[in-house]
Amino acid sequence: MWKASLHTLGNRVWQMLLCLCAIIISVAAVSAAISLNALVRTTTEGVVAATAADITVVPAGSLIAVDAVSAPPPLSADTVANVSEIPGVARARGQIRGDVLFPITSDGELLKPQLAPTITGSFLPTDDDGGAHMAISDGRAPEGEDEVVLDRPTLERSGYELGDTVTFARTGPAPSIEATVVGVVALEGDRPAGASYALFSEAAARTHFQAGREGFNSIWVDVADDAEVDVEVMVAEMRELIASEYQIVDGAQVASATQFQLYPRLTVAQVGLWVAGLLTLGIAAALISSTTAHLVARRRGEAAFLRRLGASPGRVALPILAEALLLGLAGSAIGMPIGQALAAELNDLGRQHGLSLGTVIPALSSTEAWLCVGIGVVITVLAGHRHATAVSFTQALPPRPLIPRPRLHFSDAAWTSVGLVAVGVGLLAVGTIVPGMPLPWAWALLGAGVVLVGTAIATPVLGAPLVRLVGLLGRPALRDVSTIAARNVTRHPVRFAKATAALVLGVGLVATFAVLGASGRASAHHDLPENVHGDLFVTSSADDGGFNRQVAELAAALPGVERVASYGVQTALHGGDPLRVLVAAPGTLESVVNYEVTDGRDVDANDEIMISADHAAASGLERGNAFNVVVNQQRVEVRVVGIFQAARGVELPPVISARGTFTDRGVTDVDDFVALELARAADVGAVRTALVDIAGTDPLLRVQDIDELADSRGAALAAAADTVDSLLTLLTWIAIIGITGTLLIAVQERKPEFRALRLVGMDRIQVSAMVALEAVLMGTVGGLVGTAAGAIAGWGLQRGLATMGYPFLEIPWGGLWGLVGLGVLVGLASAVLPLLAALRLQGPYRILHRGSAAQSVAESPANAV
Amino acid sequence: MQSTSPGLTAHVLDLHKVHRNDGVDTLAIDRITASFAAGVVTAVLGPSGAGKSTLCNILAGLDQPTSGEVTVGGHNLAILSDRELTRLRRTDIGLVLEGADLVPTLSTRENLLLPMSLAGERPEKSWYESVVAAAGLKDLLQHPPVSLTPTQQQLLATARALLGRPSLLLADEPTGRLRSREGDEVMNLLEWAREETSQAIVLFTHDPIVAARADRVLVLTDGNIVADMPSPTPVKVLTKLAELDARATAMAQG
Repeated sequence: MWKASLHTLGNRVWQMLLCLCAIIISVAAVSAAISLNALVRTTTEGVVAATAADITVVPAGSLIAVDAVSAPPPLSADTVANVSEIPGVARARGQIRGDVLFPITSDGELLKPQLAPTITGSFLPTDDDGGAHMAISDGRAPEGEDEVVLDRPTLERSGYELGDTVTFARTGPAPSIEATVVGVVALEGDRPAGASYALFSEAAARTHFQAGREGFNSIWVDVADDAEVDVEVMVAEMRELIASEYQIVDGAQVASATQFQLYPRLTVAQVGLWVAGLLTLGIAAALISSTTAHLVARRRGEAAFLRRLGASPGRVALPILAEALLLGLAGSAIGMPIGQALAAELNDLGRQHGLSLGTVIPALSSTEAWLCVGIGVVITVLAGHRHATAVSFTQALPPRPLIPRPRLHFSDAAWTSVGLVAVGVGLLAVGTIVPGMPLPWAWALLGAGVVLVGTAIATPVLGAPLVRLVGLLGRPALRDVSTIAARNVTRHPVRFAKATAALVLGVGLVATFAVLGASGRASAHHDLPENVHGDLFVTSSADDGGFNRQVAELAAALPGVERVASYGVQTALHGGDPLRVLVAAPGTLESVVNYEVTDGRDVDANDEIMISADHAAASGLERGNAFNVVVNQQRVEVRVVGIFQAARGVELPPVISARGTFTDRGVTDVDDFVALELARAADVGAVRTALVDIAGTDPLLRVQDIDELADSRGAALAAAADTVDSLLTLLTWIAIIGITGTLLIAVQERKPEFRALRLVGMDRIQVSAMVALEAVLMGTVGGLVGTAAGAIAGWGLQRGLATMGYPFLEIPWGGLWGLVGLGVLVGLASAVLPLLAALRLQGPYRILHRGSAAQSVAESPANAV
Repeated sequence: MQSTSPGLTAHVLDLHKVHRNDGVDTLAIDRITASFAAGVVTAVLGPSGAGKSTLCNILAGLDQPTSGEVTVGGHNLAILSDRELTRLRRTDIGLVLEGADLVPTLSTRENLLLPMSLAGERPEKSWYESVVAAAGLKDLLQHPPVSLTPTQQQLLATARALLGRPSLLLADEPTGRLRSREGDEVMNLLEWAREETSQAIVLFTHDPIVAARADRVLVLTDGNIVADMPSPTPVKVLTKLAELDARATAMAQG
């Protein structure tokens, strides 16, 4: 049995290679999804590890929102010493926590924030008793005023080496920081991934983050291993020593708060990755199953012969399963590192758009590695088992003269999925057509998903008219070649669906994002000029934190500038949650953006607020209500004087107040948005140049006109679209292998048919062209159906998001036709191997002889694919 | 390629064929010479392994002889390229095999027209209707071939071969997988074709009763033509086979 298996190895080398490629690509895709998930997890772990001691003292409220608290009076060294004297405390060390920093790379680019922001502050050197958790892996600890240590990935990505000077941009009014990199920091026990760090000497951190004031803004407390006192008791004792502006929390609370801060990004990233992972797994399973079926089909004759000699099904299947196992192991072993490289590429791509999930892809844990190997091996062996054990005694007997052509029935999955598509379209429509339907975007999202998945399964039905049309159109030139090719494509609906699933899904996703992106841009370009006033604008590439108000003042003095208006965004705490508040001088906001006061009046004085209609509905607040918020650790009673509705296309925080509400409580005044209106005769280019000079002092600032502003509103979506585009590359390869595998099986099985065609006068080129045309048809139909499904999904999402910045539908026809073209290219690429396989059939006589040894396709295990 | 005329025959001269398989030579045809005249049904009768299918394949241009000459419709097959042979099969040679060799994705009508369609031609309407009626396929034209009975499939394959009016019709065990009465329908169609077209029909069979319906029987044994019987009847054919068997037994016994 085993010898026979080895003897026939040479006959199926190509099939084995195809199967191996399928396993490699599938495992790589799964490994990439797992790696990215691991990256998200380790990033979170890294942040928590860097911020959570056994007990931590931090400014009250800063765990909820860092920017909700301005620097309170520092904690003195004596206070730190007193804390260390508390029974049960092993050591207490003063620390200075810093603001968010953005390293500028050696190429002058801004290193965009990761999933987690860069952790900054003072470096805690290792104690003699081994108390600290930070270690220098290269170079030395920072000592001087202008020295910093970075984690290695940040150092490498920023293009610097030890000894180089790095510039860090920062939000708020403070100037950039320049420091020399003297070491590489690593957290003890930390995996290579995790958050990124920029840690300064204590003196430098004091200068940069504490305005040079003595003392610390945090205390890191380690509890003795043999402490006989409860942490709660220790915290109570510390409370007596620590000023009320500080809160004392244990490690679990810090970890929880840190994860809470990361929660929205974390959830979106993880859910997205799991959905992508599951989709990939489904496609991978179909691909491996299909190619394995092809491999096993090559051994049907051999297996049937052995069965007729008396071998049991198990003994016949064993060498086949062993082969599948070896292939699964080899493919998984090769696919895993490729997947990790792919994950790194995807992460780098995301980083370019500020969507990076972390620094370095972590090595897979043993569980994760086994999961990858398991998926590759189990699917391959199961597919092999399913087809190998289906071999009967009669497999190698002469074929039945005709193979019935499977027909599509309403009970078929393809037809069922047409219903699924209809349900999806219904879901897309329900959110917008039915008045008052809550969460229209959620309905649209669900509908889009159902449409895309349903279309992938229903491709044989949805694409059938197109296939027939191509068959008819090709008839004048290709005669029966095109007719037969078209009918062969729809001959095995399940195979057709499996072969094109990756292409349909990939193209569909890209088309969805293309429509949504174009609609977002079109909407922004239509709405912003109407509802945002100004000729030039200054904004920050950082999400939060704002920038120095001096920019607006300097801009106002520029020749040609008629008027400058601006607003800032501050953070208050309300009920323990951060509350973003737009702050502007009373009466100036309407000269920046359009909004309508639907109830009450505009803000006239400090401590008055207007709330958005959505916020009013969600919170139950009404005009005239007064409630307390915490501004920079001070309780402030604010009163709702009006309800507002932002104009279409304008995104405003839920609360508007006067600048004084915050500046009176010691919060530094900042701008987030500056609008310049120019005089009619002003030279826009000259003003812009002058404005760029002013903004150039802060690397985070951008000077934009209204079109650029509209473009930047769609930047986040563009980043997501780019990531999907890169996934399309992977899915394209999967599609090529899928279609190639399907057609190779078909070539193998249809030898008797090829014989018939050759006997009646079809030449070898025509037979080969027929096979190639089938591949092109599959690719074209997959591309077209996927693009159409994506366009419909994009339309539905646009409708669902109509009130969230996507009021106008824009179909990017050029891009969509490009996707259809991609389908054609996939078809052409998929045609190569089947074409060669068909060409290898030398002639009808050769086929005649080989055909007599072929098996009945109806009985073929591969037929069950 | 020159056109064929009704008077032309197929001709094999000193035909020799050795199959080589994994280094082992097997003699299939041993220097035979024969002509197949237009308007005559010739049956090549022989047991399995006698070389019938090899001779059929060589006459159809599907296989090359080891030596000797094959002429069909005035064309020497040995010097034709694969493309020219393909074109010849479309126009001058009709081939019916034991398995009907139909294309399952095409309808009965499309299968029937396939060779002419590939050649870019259409049959005369009256001839098409005559062939369809003679084959009894009139009510089955839109059906997929898989829904036809084995006899109907074989009739379809035979009608397909006839439709292009080839000068040579080769039928290799056309009734091989049919019951005797079903086989009669196929033979009736072949005889009808001889009357209508005057083409050379060569029938390869192991069944003496089927062979006896031909105008002439060539008995093939071990690659040699051992008997050439004009105007055969079942009794004549069976008697001849008995004689040959007795002679062979006597030679074997020394």
